[in-house]
Amino acid sequence: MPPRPEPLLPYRMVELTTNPAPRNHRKTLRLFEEATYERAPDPPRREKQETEVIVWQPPAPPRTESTPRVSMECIALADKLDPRLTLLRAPDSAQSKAFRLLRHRLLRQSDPRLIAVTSAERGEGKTTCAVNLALAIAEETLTRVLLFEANVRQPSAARLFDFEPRECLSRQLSRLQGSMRGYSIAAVAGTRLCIAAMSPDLAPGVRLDRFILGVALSELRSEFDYIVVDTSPVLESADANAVAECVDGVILVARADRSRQKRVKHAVKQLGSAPLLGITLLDSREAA
Amino acid sequence: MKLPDDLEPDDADAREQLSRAFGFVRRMLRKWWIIPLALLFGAAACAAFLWIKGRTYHSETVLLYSEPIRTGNNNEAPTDPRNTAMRFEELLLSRSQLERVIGQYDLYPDRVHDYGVVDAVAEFRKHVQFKAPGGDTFSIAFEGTAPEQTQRVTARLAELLIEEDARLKSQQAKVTRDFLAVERKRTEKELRDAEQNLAEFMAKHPKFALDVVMLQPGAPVTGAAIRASMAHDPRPSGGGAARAYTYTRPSEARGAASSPSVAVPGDQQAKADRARAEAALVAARSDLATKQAQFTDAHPDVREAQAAVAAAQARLASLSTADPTPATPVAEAASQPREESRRAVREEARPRSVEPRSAPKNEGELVALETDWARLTRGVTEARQRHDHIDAAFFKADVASSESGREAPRISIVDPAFLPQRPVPPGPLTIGAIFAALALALGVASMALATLLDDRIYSARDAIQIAKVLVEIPRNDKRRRAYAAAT
Repeated sequence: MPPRPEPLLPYRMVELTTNPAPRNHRKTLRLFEEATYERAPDPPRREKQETEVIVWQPPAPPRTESTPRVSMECIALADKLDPRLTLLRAPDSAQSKAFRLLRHRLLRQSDPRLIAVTSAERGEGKTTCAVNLALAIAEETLTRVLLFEANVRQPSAARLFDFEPRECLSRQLSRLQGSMRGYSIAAVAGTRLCIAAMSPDLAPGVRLDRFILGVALSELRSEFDYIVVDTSPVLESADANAVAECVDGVILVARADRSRQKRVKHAVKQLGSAPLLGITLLDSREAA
Repeated sequence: MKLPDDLEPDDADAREQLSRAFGFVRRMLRKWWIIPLALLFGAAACAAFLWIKGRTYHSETVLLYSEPIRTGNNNEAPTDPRNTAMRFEELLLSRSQLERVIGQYDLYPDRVHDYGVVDAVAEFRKHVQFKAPGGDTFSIAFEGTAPEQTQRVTARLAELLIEEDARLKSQQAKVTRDFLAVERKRTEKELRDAEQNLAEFMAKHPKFALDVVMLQPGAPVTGAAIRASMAHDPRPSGGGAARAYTYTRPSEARGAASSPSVAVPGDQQAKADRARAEAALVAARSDLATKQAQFTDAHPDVREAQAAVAAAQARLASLSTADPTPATPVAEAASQPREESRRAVREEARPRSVEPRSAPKNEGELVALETDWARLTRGVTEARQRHDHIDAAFFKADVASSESGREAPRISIVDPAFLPQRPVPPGPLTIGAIFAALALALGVASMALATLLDDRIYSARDAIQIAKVLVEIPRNDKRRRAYAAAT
């Protein structure tokens, strides 16, 4: 490993190493307190003085044609976390425990490695459920989790963690048509969670290509233990159906006092033969 | 506590059912906003109802109906109170009467202006009540928008009813009187004609006019009446008194007349008395024969006739005893014609079962004459009876149409119309409470209906109907508020 430069400012950072080797090689994830690193020549567009994001790229390992190139950027958590990040804001709350229970039931049931999270209509909590499920899975020791944002209609993962992706995932997927394949992924500091996010200001009209999406997911599957895919609402587009064909299971999210049975039934019917794992009910009063 | 995947769609024990019920109530309470909305709607409806309905005042008057003046004829049946009440109700609610009241007090001006007076009358009828609980009393009630006006209208309705009833009664009496006056003249003419015909017949056949007795006016011409009149005043009297004629058989009359009274000097009066006695005897026998032809011997008239014959015989016997003059051969010979006449009368009085060709010609003429005489006398009797009947009816109608009859009221006011002090219940508070209760009930029903129609997912039990529920994430109000504030 290259020597680490002297730090300029105290900050929290996460050191990541990516090993292009197969999964059985161990990947290390350590948390350093008050470690110092030299500022990268092209830092990300964060202007905060208190925390700085250091992008550190280890030397690229030798690659083959079938090995995707994954570049990671480390993002730090903001001081004021989004309220939807339940497991980070209140790890001991009932909601966090429920998400952990969801993780446990999934792993006990069929241990799907590629999980799609969707809902019948927008605003029912699929992103919340996806990110919290991913965080819950990431709490497992020696587990690499990727949150793949496949919602081109209303991308919110970057906004959720308050960061700007270095490169929009949609562009990355479009570039996969060529010979060069590479993924730019953000790693969340303090967790084992990585995020492949769309740009928040994604232009409307962007479509997901089912074949490319399948190739991307299958390639990323080799890099991560679990991939949680945040998709578009089922009843608003066919993207959820495209994603459902590439995953091991689909979780349908419903929000209490909001989701209608008729619409949820219709969404289930539209998913058809997709492997539906079950329904996750958010904001349940009776469970409170 | 059951995990979501342990729940079955049809799992419903008692506690679950109770839990469902409470859950339903909780869901209903989430729609609490319907209650104030319903109350607001109810308040608006109540205000509109009160504004449209307005205040209503009620006034009532009680009337008494009494029978009209009787004129002595007790043959008329008493009027059925129900018919009277129905007639008065029709009089009260007649369109002409109500139009007068509407015009006088300017009732329902909007309706009159928009739809005409006919519609106003129909509206007026809805607020007028006529009640006849029974007996001779009935009440008139009216509901109006102003107390004073209500009282005046009620009083006016009673006055109109009384006036109309009196007018109709007077009009009916006048019409009846006029009709009876015409009938009276006609019957008088008929009576005169009948009497004239009878007089002409008597003039042609004076033999039928031997005795003229006076009868009571209107009394039928019968043998008993004649004998009774003869017992009072056998002499004829003039004037317009009814006259009755006794019939003496011509044979007997000839027999009586053929038996000339022998004028014995000194015994002329006795002979005259004897002749009259003999004539009376003949008449009595004739009457007896007639009665025996009609009735049996047990009939009272037959017995009276027999008594009259006996009395006449006794009379004659007494006169004969007083006058020792032997009976003249004429007198003795007169007894034979009397016997013959008696037999002739009996034969004639028998029903006509004898062969007409066997009867002598003079007998046929006699029968015809007697028939004509009976017909004429019967005509006079019937004409007199009709005249008397019409005369009595005319008298009653004259009394009813007279001033004294008109001034005798049939309807009188027992309890005049009172001034209402407060509106007809229910008042605004009661109406408001009723509307509030209805609005509340409507609100609760709407909440229940909205909850039933609400197909949103509230718990795992709702979602389990669709697919397996992995987990229920409890609600975090703080997080929701924070998220709402952040977005």
